[in-house]
Amino acid sequence: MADPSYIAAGVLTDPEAWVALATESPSGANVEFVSTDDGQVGDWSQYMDLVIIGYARSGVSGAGNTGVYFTLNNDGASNYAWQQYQGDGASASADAQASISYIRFGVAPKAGATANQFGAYVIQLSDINSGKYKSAFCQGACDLGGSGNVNMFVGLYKSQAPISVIDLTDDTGFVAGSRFDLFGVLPRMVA
Amino acid sequence: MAVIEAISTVYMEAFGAEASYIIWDDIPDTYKHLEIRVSGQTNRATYGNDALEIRMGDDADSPLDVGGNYSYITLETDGTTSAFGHGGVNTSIPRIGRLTSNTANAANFGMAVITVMDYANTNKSTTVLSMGGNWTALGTTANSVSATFNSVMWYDTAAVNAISLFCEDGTGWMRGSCATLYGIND
Repeated sequence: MADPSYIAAGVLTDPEAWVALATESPSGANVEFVSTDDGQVGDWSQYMDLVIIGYARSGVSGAGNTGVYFTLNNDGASNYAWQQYQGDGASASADAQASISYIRFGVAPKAGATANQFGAYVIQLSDINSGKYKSAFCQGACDLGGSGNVNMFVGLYKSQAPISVIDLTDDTGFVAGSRFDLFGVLPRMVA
Repeated sequence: MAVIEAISTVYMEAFGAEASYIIWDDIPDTYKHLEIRVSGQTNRATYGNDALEIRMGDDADSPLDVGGNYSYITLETDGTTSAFGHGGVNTSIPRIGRLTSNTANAANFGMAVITVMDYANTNKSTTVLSMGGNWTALGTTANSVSATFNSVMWYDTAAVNAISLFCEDGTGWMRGSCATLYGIND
């Protein structure tokens, strides 16, 4: 098996801290990122944090917007919790879910929204290989030209297992033009 | 394209016990901006969370400015349906986030992503931006959960070469807490 790029002649080097891992451009489908678990760059076991940067439009019918969510490690049970803080251009509000089967990361324009409108998102997953419950922080922006929402979420996955699978969904599948990029964030690797 | 380098990672388990603060000294001035990524829990004995504080220092400090030379503004939620703002001026304990306290499940840790803008510029009071939050097993009770958006300003115009993170109500970080300082360049 070949060494990862940050091992040069058997010596650990300190590479750039943000590593581009994968890109998904769905068309009528949900998105799944999976660790390669092979000791190479795509193996998430070496990263401190994961970051997903994306923009998306939902296939859910109707006008307005709809919630978008993620689950971890193919766990669809009620092992998640989240708090949301959002604004709609007129007022701010908060809500919380203590036991639920997903973490919400924003809202996306529905299929009936004005053409070419997409939501934008940054999802941060913290200390993914620790024995902690896994924390997430998400920012979402979905401006529909006179309506829409800006959101921030803090989420918790009540599992101490390392994260190796991330599923992003809007229930029916994101439409063409949507895109999600996954990055791994390394700690300081050389003393 | 931006280049992001990890400057230093601090793991609290390396000390084998609680530690009262995290500090980076002699930070090189060779980056445009700094980013700090934190996963933390404090030993506060009441409520579900604790405030995360930041201090900075320059060559004239030893190594931090511990005076009332900071201001801060936060937008926060508290685990219920309420959202509120909070702030301080001429303070020595500027809030830059919220972490989990040690009152609930030991596996719950809060997180924060902190950006220190243009930290080496000697003509600006340094401004810091942070987002993050926490959830605890206390669920949707007040002072247990938060999603936070924070700003801190250090009045000093000197280049920042030291940064400390500490908790407001607890006296130390719990084992398992960790933080990494990154430098961002063009």
